[in-house]
Amino acid sequence: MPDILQRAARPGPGTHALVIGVSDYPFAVDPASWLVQDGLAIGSLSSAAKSASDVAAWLLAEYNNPDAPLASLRVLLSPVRGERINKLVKPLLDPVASRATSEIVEKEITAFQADCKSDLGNMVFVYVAGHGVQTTTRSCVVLLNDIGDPALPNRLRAGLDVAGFHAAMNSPTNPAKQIWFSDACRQAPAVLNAFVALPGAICPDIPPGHVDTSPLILSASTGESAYARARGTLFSEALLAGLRGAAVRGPDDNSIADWHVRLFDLISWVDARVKAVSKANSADQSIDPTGRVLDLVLQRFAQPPDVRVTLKLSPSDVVPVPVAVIDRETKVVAKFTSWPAKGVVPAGKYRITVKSKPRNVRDVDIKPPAFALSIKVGS
Amino acid sequence: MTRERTSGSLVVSAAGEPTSRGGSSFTVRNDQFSEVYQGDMGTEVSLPAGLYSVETVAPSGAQLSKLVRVEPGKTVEVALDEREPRTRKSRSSRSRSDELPAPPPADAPVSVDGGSGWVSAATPTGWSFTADDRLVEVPVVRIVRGSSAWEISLPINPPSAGSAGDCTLDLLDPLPDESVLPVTVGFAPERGLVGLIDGLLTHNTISSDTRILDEATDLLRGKEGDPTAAALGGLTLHRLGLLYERASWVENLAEGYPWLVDGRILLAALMREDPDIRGRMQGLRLLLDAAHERPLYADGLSLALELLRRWPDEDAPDESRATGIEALGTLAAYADWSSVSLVTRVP
Repeated sequence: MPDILQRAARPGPGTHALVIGVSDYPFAVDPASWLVQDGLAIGSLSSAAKSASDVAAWLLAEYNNPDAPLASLRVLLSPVRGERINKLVKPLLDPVASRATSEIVEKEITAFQADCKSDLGNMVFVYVAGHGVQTTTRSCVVLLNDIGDPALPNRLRAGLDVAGFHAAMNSPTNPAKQIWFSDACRQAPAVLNAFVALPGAICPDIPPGHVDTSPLILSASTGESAYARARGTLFSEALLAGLRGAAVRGPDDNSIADWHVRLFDLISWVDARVKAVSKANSADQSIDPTGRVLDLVLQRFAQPPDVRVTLKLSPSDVVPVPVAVIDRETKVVAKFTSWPAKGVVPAGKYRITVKSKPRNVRDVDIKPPAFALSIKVGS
Repeated sequence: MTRERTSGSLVVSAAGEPTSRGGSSFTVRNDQFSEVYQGDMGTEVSLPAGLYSVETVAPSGAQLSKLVRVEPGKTVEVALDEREPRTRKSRSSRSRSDELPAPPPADAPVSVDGGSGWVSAATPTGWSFTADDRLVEVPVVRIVRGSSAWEISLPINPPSAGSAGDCTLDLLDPLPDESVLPVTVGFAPERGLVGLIDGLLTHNTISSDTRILDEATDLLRGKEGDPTAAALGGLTLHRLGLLYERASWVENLAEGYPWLVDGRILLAALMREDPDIRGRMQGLRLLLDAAHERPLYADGLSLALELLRRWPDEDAPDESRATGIEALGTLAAYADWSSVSLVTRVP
């Protein structure tokens, strides 16, 4: 079953999630396919399905929304041979029914929409990864596993019109709170210039109106590629780090008593992270928030998330070996006497004091997943 | 018994050019990253002693942040400035993932080769453009380099708009490969608002701070304004799904500046949401009429195409929509979607 949660329906609102990841494109090398005949050179991807499985695993194991607990989790993956699908998710997948083909995606979208509409207090969560194309700054089509199949009636039949699907769900008969992520390239292949109307791409009817909040975060800006490395797409790495606490903030007076991740903080974090990592690899990638972008809480924590802290001294062999403390308003949360110093500290702003000569004091932001600092000591 | 921490205070200012827009407000977060204050630069804020971060968006659109310690009984002054040079996105729309390093740029000169609706003057870095007094359509300039040519919609206002309205085309330095647009669109210094919106779009900081867009669109409530800035602000608000709540000024834009087709496209987008089908059909007619003109912004073209593709009423005449899509499709086929202003390659 594509719904890997397989949990009996509970009363009250819940989060309904749809996660799709396509790495395998078998028709990209089929001489009978329009992909080959018209020169739309797409190869298979290395980690789109893995990234989707990581997002699904996070939903399954870590997602915490007391107002709308996870109620369904549809996962459709088409990995390439040897791709490392998340261990938590892999055993729950059906080898046939969990594939990301146009037929299955269309069927599951219909079921997903029905689940979402069961309670307007539900939360909608969608993540889609794969090859993507666009025909305007506002379009975003993710190519499914059977794109290019000569048996399909038109070229984009196996394309999911993510912007259109999102627009269809952004109407008043759907849950008021939604979050969408499209992790795909946004290039405009010349071969699609004649298909500006996107005939055939999977897209439900789009009624007028809108919901309270329904951001669609695109992993790349217009004309850009969305990059990946073996451990996943840059976007999914940043997204998961942000949701795990890199974009965390503490309790807000009068609104939320828990540590939590808000949409705007997540957007800032993911954009900065994706830009930095792509730049470090001599590429350009920046995210593009669109949809109905109003702030909402995406994740809550029972306590401040932990951060792995590593402190190093420069030079490393300074004598006498100094003591270091990490404190917040004189309350010491960690004390180190050996170097390099390693420990775990709850997220927050702290003062680090190295009791060397002269004394070295630094004010720092310590955020998940890890914090590392090299401290110059001595004169 | 818990003893309350004693207080100190904080005064935040923007270093560099003082401006009424961008960098004019700031946010303070406490040592748990929670927002504890949001207000305008120069205000003295009283806070419990402790460690805080101060954040703002610079006039260029970049996000700035600084850690600051508030000491008991003391006032700490913080200046937020932009140390890094301003950067712009590459204007190339091609992927770099599989490309060899670009060859050295060719020497073919860049020239202005006609257009309509403007008067130009040479500048040290390119050209500046002023609008004709009586615009009847979006001004367009044709730029030629070697065997390549582009048409660029110019974000300039007629003098009758009552505010500054010039723009510039600045040559890229060094010049790129001949196949890449060799200029960027800039704005006269007195058009800080539209320049800031452009910067916010470039830095992706706009989604968390829409006050600038509101400022751009609010200007249209009065007689004086920057209609091209308002159109860009309006398109961005629509893109962020926030136009519905700020709809009143869009009619002013569409009716007061009929040459600016993006305003009519925005009005049609709002009319699409009308619960009454007669209102929606009126919106569709407005859109079909606009579909035969060249928009100012690439996003205006995108919005028009999306609206035509996804108009909700089955009664909407398919044939007319197809004609509209076909008309805009000719522009879309040659559009550089990475540009803010509409740039089309001349085939």
